[in-house]
Amino acid sequence: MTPTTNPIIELHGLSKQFNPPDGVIAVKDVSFNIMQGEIFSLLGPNGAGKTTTIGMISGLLTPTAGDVIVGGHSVTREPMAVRKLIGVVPQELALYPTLSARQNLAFFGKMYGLGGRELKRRIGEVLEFTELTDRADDPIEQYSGGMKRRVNIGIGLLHRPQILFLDEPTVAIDPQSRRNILDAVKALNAEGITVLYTTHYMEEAQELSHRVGIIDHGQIIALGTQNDLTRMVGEQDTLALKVPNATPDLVDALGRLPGVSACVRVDSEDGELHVLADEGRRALPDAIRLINEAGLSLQAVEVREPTLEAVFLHLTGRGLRD
Amino acid sequence: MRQKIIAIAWKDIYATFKDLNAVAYLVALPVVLSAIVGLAFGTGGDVSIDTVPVAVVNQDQGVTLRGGHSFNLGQTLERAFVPSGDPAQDEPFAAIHDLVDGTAYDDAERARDQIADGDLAALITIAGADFTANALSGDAPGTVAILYDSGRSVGPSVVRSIVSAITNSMNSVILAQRLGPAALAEIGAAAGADEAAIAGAAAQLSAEAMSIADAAPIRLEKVDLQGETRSFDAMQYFAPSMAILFMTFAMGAGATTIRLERERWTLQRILTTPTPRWAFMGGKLLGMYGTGLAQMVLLIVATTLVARLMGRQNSIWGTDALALVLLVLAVVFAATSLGLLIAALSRTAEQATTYSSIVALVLGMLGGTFIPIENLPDALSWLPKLTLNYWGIQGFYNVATGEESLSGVSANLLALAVMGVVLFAASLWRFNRRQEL
Repeated sequence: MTPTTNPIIELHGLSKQFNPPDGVIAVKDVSFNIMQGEIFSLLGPNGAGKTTTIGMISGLLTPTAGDVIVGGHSVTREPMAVRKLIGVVPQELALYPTLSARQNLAFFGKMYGLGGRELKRRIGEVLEFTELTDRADDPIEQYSGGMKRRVNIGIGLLHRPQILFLDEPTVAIDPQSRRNILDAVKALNAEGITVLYTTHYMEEAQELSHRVGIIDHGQIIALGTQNDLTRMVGEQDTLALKVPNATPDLVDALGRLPGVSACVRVDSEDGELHVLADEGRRALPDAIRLINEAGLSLQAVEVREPTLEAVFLHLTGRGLRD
Repeated sequence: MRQKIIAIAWKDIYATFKDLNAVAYLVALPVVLSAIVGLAFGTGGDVSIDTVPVAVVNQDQGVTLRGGHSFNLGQTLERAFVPSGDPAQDEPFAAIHDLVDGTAYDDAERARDQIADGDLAALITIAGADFTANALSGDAPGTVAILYDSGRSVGPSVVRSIVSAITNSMNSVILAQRLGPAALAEIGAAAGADEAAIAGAAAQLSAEAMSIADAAPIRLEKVDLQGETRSFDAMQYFAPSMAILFMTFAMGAGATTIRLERERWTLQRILTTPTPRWAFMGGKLLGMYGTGLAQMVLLIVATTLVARLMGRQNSIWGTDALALVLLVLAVVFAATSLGLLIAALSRTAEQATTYSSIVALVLGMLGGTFIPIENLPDALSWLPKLTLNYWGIQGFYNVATGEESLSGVSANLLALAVMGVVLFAASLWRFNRRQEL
């Protein structure tokens, strides 16, 4: 769906400090708008403040400062009005394991105020949408991780919300289930639902989002369309190198090569290194030479065009999964 | 909002009773334990405590008074427990003989061994050949020793009560025998009677006192057995005590589910729907209350059926339906409030489980579930009254035995209601103080 220019969610100077005055400041003075019909991704590493931000927007957490307006209602002053507009899919599998999918849906449907035939009809539709009709009466504890994720999402859709919050919905699931969830998000957006999607997977944000907000240490450090953001790092390429047992000295040396702005280890198990270079292909021979001099082997190499990962690397000097 | 509260409550009740392990733990286990205890006290009908096996070792040789009249206090005491076979002599002790199965022993060591083996409840030793002589002269107090197995709860206490009552009566007679003639002489002298007449009257008084003591005036009616003469059915006591114990465990499990809702994020998910916190708490409270009620009803039905199968004719829970229903409602209310307070004081589900297990066991111990509260030292006799177990067990037991009707258990109902209100208020205060669930 093409987003409108009407903001449906407005964050005004939102901050959250746990256990003030000395506790952790999880979110600092965050302000941005999400437009009606938009898929907006909040991209950042674990602990960046994504879940805390969603917690405040959905009324679960009280902001230390600032406010959120959702559909014209203040979250702090009219929380019940806001909750009728939103569907929340938490990162955790917030389900009753001994109850079936149908029973879980029925219970949370009642919490949304549904009942009677309307509830029964919506349960049927949600089960069909999540492709769980055949297993609807099995206890959740007998489901696979992907099926549980689908029920988790389905509950957030029961009352046909205008806005759907999805907090890291693809954590710890298989690629097929991830693909299903991403397709489902697009389908829901096509029906007119505004989506706020948090993730630390750059690929998901790139595939889904109309706009992306990059959050780190509780602050929005970049916000815009993908084109807006990738322009921030110029035309830099990412040189993806697979070097098992890469040493910190090698990472430092790669980062100091001519035309290279940064080098970061993104996967310590596979030894995957990302080198941010003005021209990836030109930097490649020098990178290979350094790897050989270090007595290490280069198992794979790939030159990638600018991505949100590169943007994050450019802005913070760290990888999204560090 | 009412529908949401009911939905939360029903979800908890359904989830609890859907779990077969939980049902086994909350319902089947207390029924089985009650049945085992019932079997231990007998297999059917009214199980009376009239068969407490006791050994009596009487070393007293007695005394021979002027005129050849023999007097033996030890024999009198022995006769209270061991039938002589002479109906005339045994008649005063008939009620005691219904309670106690006494046997005269010469060998105290053999009796000790039998107590250790569990064949005897107690050994009464009337110590010394001069027991009567010393008691009458006042030179040295006679000693009656009771040896018993502290592992047996009812038998020894019956024996202690009887011996205590008999020796007290004997002391009164001996006192009268010692002081009576002297007092008579003093009164007679003051009144101007002649010495021969006073001496004659004193001798007659003394002889009659001996005769009265020898005839054993101690009857069971005079003995304060604190109710032990009534029919005692172990299941009438242990069925409610087990039911209340396991219900307090169930309420602890309820406390755990409140914490689990937070840890599983279902609480947070509910709070993102148009459902206020108070509705969630109301639903949890109603769910715990409903679970407790269902558990108690199931336990009452199950123990009644088991008792019938074991051949008992009387009702385990009594026949006063209104008193029974009100007691159930009050006990469950107090236990639910207790569970809520445990939830309020716990930070995690694991902590709630630990706290609730400890609280349930301590309340069970203090409230009389495991040990008779009569065995507590006097200084601690007030402790059981702080527990819902005490008020519940006593109330159910009194209703079951028909000793009390609704008005008779009003104090129990009031105590349980007050406990429920106080615990509920404390839990709400604690939840509000922490500003979270």
